[in-house]
Amino acid sequence: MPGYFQPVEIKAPQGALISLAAEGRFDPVLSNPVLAGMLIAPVYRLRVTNIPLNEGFEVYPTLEVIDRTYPPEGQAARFPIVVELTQEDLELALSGRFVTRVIYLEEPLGALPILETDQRWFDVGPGDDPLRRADELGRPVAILRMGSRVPDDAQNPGLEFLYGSPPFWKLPVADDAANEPAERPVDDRQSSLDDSPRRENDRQVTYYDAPPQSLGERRQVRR
Amino acid sequence: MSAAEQYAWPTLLSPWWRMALVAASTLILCSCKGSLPAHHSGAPGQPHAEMMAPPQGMLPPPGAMPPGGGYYPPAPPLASEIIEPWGPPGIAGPWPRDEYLRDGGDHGLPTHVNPDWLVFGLDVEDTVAHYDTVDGRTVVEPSNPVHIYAPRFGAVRHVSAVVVDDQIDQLSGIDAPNGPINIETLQIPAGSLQREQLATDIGSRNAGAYWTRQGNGAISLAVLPFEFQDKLLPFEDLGIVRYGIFEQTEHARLAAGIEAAIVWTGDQAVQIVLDRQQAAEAVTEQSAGTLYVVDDSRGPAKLRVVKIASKLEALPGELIDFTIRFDNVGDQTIGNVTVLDNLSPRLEYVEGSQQSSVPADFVSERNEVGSLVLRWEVTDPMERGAGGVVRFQCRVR
Repeated sequence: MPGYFQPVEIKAPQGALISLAAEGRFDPVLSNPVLAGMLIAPVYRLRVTNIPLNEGFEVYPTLEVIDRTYPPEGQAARFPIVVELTQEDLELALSGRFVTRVIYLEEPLGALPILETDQRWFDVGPGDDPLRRADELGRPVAILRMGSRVPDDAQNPGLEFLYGSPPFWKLPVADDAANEPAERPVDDRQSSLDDSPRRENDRQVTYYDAPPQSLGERRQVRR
Repeated sequence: MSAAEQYAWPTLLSPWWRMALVAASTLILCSCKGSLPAHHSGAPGQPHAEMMAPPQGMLPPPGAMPPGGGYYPPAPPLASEIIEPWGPPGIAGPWPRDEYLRDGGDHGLPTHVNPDWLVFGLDVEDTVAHYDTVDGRTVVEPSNPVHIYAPRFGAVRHVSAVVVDDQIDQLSGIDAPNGPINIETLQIPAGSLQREQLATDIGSRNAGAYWTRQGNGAISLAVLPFEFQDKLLPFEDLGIVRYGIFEQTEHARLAAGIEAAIVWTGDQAVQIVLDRQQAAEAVTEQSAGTLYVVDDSRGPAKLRVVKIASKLEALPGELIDFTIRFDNVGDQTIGNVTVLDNLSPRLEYVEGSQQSSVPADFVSERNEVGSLVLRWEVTDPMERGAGGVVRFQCRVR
């Protein structure tokens, strides 16, 4: 695990801009979303600007990757850890609240059977530990912390504020819409299967050779 | 060294030649450094070498950023860097389990079908087919499992706030003027004196030793040996024999009897002699008058179920085609072939996408995790060598 750059995709509301910190200052290149390979355990400081309805204010969240994923060879950048900064979270941080988001990998058998466009999240109570709850729901992989703390000097925040500016690996964001396969029409599928060449043994059976019981008669199957 | 070479060396070591040599060497060294590969992996055996490269996200100095975004895409891996996904030894892949969707196989309790056609043990993500054989059995055959890499992430949020208006004053001191005034203690007597002398001392002594050879057939207390000739022999005239009660006065006699009995135990046993003739071994062969043999020329029934998926990794929202191929590879015709697929909650069946190459009735019903159980009931019996294909489409949730 040491030395592995875990791909992480950071999303913010449309219009907001995100920059990562490197070498003691924030990256002048702003984007949304941001896809970067991050080391496990170091704390990364982000800067979110141009927040919708709160232009002129900035939020400086921190992101800590605590576990990695094991994608197939060559698929690491396609399956990053997804971290979402919602509009509500950013406004809570601007109002002085401290927001902690623990991102976890869902257990497949315990996942909710719905297709989600945005990341599903749960709120825990004031005395509850979000890391413990996330550990019950799956495997925690990252912790996002967001408050109203700002650096004294935005141009030169300092290594202490940036937690030492750990290195990261910027990756290009893939265009998912271009890779989305189209759903095939039902009629085409049926005709393509009917026209497919069959083996000689695939012939239809219309009789049965002296069975002790009528196997061809379908009985009621219940489950 | 020849005379001609002695004259040539001063010419080579002239300042112009030395400058030319230094310039050529510098050019050669620079060209070698520039031809090194830009991407190299970590140590062999480490997982996913493509993300183990040295960090390229270190912010370069201003002016060195590539135009249009400043991305440094990784170089394609070399052939020697392509390694299999790592997994802990001893754990069947793929690993880790929570990053993969599984469909197929028969995990957990094995699926079985009752004679009344109730299916038990069909867990979520299982895919099985069951069929009836000629001899009336119902056989369950699982398919191979298919694993699809499709991790999905959730989040747990905790919001806390600092209340700055509340202030708690710490106590500066404690004023407690009243202390304990007096201590009153009641002493309990530590001992007592018995003044009355004991009038009688009654004691009993237990037997020092008691050796008995009572076995499973315990001595009866009620039945006297009436049936015996002479009733009781002299050495038997003991209370333990007569009544089953041990008397202390008979201890010596009983010990002697026991000792005598011990002499006759061991390897000395009652011998039986029959007319001084040794018993001979007798062997008798008896056979049934009629032997019924069932000669079934048909071989075993066997259905092969193979399941494949159109892709091995998928993001939420993507479509995956599943194909289940089943073939009668046994030596007899089978019937009532039923294919069951219990879908994972992350897989949403695309309505109307199922198709079958053989006549089959398709039904679906909701399972316990919010997905569907798909079932194809093949209408006709399936001869030896016959097979079929069912196919359906799912959307990854």
